Amino acid sequence: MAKKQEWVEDSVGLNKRDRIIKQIAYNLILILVCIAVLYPVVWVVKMALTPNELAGIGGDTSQIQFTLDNFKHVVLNQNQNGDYLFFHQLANSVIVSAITTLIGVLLACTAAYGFARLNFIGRQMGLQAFLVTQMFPGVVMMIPLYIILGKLGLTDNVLGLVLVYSVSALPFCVWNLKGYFDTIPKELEEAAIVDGASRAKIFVTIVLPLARPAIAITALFSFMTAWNEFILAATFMNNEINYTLPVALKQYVGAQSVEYGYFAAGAILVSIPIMALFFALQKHLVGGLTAGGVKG
Amino acid sequence: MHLKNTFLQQGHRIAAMLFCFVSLFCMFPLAASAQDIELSLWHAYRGDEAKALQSVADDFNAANAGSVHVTLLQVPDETFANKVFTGVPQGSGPDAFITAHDVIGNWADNKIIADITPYINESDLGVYHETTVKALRYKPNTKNPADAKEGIYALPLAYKSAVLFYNKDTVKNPPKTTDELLQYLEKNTVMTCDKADTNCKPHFGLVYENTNLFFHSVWLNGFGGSLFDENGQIQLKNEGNAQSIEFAKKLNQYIPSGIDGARIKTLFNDGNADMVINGPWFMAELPEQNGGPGLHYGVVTLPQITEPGAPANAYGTPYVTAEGIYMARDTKSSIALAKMKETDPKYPAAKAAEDARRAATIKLMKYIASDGAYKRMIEGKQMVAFKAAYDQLKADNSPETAFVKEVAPVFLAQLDHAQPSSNRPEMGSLWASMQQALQKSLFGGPSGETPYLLFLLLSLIVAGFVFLAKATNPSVTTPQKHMMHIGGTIVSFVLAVPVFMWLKSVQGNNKNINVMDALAEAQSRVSMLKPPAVEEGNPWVLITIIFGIIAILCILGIRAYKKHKAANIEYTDNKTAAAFVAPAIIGMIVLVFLPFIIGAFLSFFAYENGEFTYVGLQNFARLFSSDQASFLDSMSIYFTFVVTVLWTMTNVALHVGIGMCLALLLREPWLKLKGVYRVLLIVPWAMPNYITALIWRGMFDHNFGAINGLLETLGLDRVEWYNEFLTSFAANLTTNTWLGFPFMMVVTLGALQAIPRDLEDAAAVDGASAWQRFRHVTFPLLKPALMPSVVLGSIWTFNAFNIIYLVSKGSPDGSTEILVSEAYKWAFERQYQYGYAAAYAMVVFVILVLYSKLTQFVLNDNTVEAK
Repeated sequence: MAKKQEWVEDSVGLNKRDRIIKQIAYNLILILVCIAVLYPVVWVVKMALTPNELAGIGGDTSQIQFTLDNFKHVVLNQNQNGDYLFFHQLANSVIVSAITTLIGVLLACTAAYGFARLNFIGRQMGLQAFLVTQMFPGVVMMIPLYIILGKLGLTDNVLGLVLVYSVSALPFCVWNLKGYFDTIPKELEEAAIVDGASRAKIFVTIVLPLARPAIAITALFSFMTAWNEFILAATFMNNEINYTLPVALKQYVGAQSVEYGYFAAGAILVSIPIMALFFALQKHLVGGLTAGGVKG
Repeated sequence: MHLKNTFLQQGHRIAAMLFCFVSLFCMFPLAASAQDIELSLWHAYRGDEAKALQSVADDFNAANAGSVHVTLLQVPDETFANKVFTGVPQGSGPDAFITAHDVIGNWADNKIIADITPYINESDLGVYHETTVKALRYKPNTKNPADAKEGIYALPLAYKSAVLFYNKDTVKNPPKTTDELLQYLEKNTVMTCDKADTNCKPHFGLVYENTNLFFHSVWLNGFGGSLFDENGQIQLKNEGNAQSIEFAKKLNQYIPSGIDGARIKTLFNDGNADMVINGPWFMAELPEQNGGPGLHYGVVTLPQITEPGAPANAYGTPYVTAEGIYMARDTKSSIALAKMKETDPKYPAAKAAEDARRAATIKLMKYIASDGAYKRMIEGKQMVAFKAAYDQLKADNSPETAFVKEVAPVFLAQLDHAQPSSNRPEMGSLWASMQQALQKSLFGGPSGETPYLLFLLLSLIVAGFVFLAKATNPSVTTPQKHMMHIGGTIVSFVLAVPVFMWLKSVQGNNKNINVMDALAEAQSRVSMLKPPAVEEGNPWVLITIIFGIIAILCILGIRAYKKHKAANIEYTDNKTAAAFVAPAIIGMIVLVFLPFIIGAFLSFFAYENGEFTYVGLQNFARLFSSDQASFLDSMSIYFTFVVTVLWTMTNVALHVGIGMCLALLLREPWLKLKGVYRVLLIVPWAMPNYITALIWRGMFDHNFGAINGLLETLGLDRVEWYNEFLTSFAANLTTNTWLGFPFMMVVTLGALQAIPRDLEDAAAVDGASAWQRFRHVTFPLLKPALMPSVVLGSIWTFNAFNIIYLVSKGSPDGSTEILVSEAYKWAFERQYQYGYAAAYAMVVFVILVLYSKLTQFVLNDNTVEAK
């Protein structure tokens, strides 16, 4: 009986004292979790602010020196022609990620809509095939992929990277979007069909605007895939000026030693745009990711 | 396709021309002109070494203006080998590249690098230090052993061997003998501190990576040990090897465990370690010597070995690595030339151009190795192989040479007591196997039963809870069923007790492992890692399999067709659908399915001497027999499979569990600062994991990690996380949970949004407790929405190897590796056994398909039950 009381009060908001206690308890738990979650991140920041030759994993906390030199070094790194590599690589990263996002969203939206609404041969199989690709172990695919791109003339070419990235983010995006499209009432479209609108028109004018949260997530995913990837980027690109940022970042990791200060500073710079995107899209994140959880 | 090709090439050329044009305008002199030979040189240098190399390359370009121009590419070390290995045979590699000599065996056999003997005179090599030249000679394995002849595969640039670094402020007289070293360690090492003593800090006389053969080689060679017998066969069991490990054991009393490069740097820089055995690259990690505050260090040669039983006049004799500049065997133009017929009218011109290109490459290699040597030495702080550089150094009195003058003679002197490590392909597996022998001898071996027992224990506990949940479910009405569930609960939990006791009893490493036994085990590991002799397979096997797959697909197709016929479904949207779905499908087919199918075919082939040979089912036979490894050996695929299942199960359970709990907290409408928490909690997801995983590795460090610090403040003992399976696994698991829970949290939050709150309110009014509400109202509604994410999450986790690669690195003894990380090792770290790796990957794929079928089955079953 007592429990019932508590529940009714807290959902309706009658008992102030209980509510404050709960508020405090919840906040306390969440603060503790946040501290645990952010602790490693604080270490990255500390490493980034420690002079490079002293920065390492762990170490004495008694000798702390702060400097912004690592950031300066990473950002103002020049090649022999005097090009500021960081800005070139930043531009590459932005271009690659932006085009990937564009192509990824375009392909994912159309395909997902097809799978969600259209009645065609092989629909179920196609959808399964997208899921199956997630089970392919990347190890065996790298060399064949390289050969295929070579035959298409797409190695050492931004376009090759963009295509690979947008396709590799596709399965998740299609599934997620398809799930979201499934939740949009069909009646809206049926009315339009009766009015004589084409599928393409319905898709653009009715479905896409309604699916905005899921599209935002698809975009975020595609963007992240392209932004953080480095193995393919390092393998495909044969000019330092064409590297993307993660590749440049990995240049600070050597066989026997790591330049931790630069590496950490670079890692922070690389994560800022992603963090900003997450922050900007966080409202959609909750609505847009989930609805994907509907059976195929 | 052809059209597209040329168009793209044209596009490229236009872009290149534009670039030149713009560059000229920007007043950046770009020496390239039409008749130049354009060369590319790849390297993985960083910092001063990279700058010095660039400067030498600039000199070369200036000296050869109008004829040859070289462009450098700095490749991240981690991808360097793969990039060269995939690029060169495709003609998209460099003309020359720089790397250490240990790749020679593999790369010469696989036709990546060219024997440069035809391009140089033997007398040209006299200007380089003999040891480094010796390291670069190799006799490749060829199909017909009679064809094999020794060649030289690179020009030596620099050598890297370990020496003894010491802190000048604390070590007045660096030890000259091992006796002095041991005395010093006895006096100056503080391994652990009493908790009560707050002034005490751990302090180490000497640190080095004592399980790494590169550093252990100091003692191994010193005691007269060796890895090969007189006939060149691998033989690890010998007196010298055993003595050296016994000595390492002696030193190990004074050395913190789980030591790695990053830790050594921190310890030495902070003054917590007095001496370090390390290579010349370590200097780049230390502050410049300027007499200012902070560390002052010096280097000396490694001590004489005065242990009883050691050969007379033995010295610490490290392996030396020779860095060389190599010529790529194939380039775009050489491949094009090879395809041309000799009768082609263009052939002579192309041949002449190609010869000129090769000559220019050799010119470049020689320039960097000898003309550029002094610059590399002074500016790049390299220990160069070019002998005359040391005479030049003696004569040079400019102040900037002071530092190099101090250290270079020490490294040069160490070269008298050093030997090049073998460049044979087997060496790769020797590093790994010797590491295992060292790890076992110094820290004991993990018990192979652990993962199996842990798996059994967890399964019993899960089964127990499932039965318990069913037993307490009021909807089950038949008394028999109810009794069965109660019985199941009791049996599961009771059985779990002895399993737990057993698991506990096998914990703790067996530290009394005989060194000879450890070596014998390493020896058998080597033979497991070795690629078996290639036997051509029966082509009918592959044909049968292909036809089998086609037949199965046909049957499935016909069945599906009949089903649809029976259901009488009409496909009304085929044409529209083609427009909507086709672009994505085509992309997937070309860039995902095709590579995968090629990869699948490769599992029937063996990669040897640069070509694939069809071997039928040999890879699979080898895989399932696990190279005769016992079930308890971490090399066994069955062992790895159980670890992988454990890894996936525990990860997904934790991701979902933690994610769900946090989501339930975060959904309360009255909660303040909800947005802030939500953003903070998804930070792990947003940061690139290749850096956060490194941080986590450091947090589990024995002496300085945050986790052990926390344990200590809680009054618990410090744990050596990476030395035992359970703790090492836990370290990986913690890291991946940290990375993975935000995704599940967000998914749950969204799914919760779709669940109407009034259902729960109604339950509350009916008197249901918070747990009951969750269990009977919220959870059943959440489940279908979460299931796809859980399936997807488990597939991702099953295939996620980078955390293991970065955190535990498989230790102890490869036991925490999962299937995909093993496949990766077979493909790229164990003599490029690509076919075998592909077979491994196919097994992973089949397991995942079965798993997803199973979950679908369970899911459908549940929904039926719900109805």
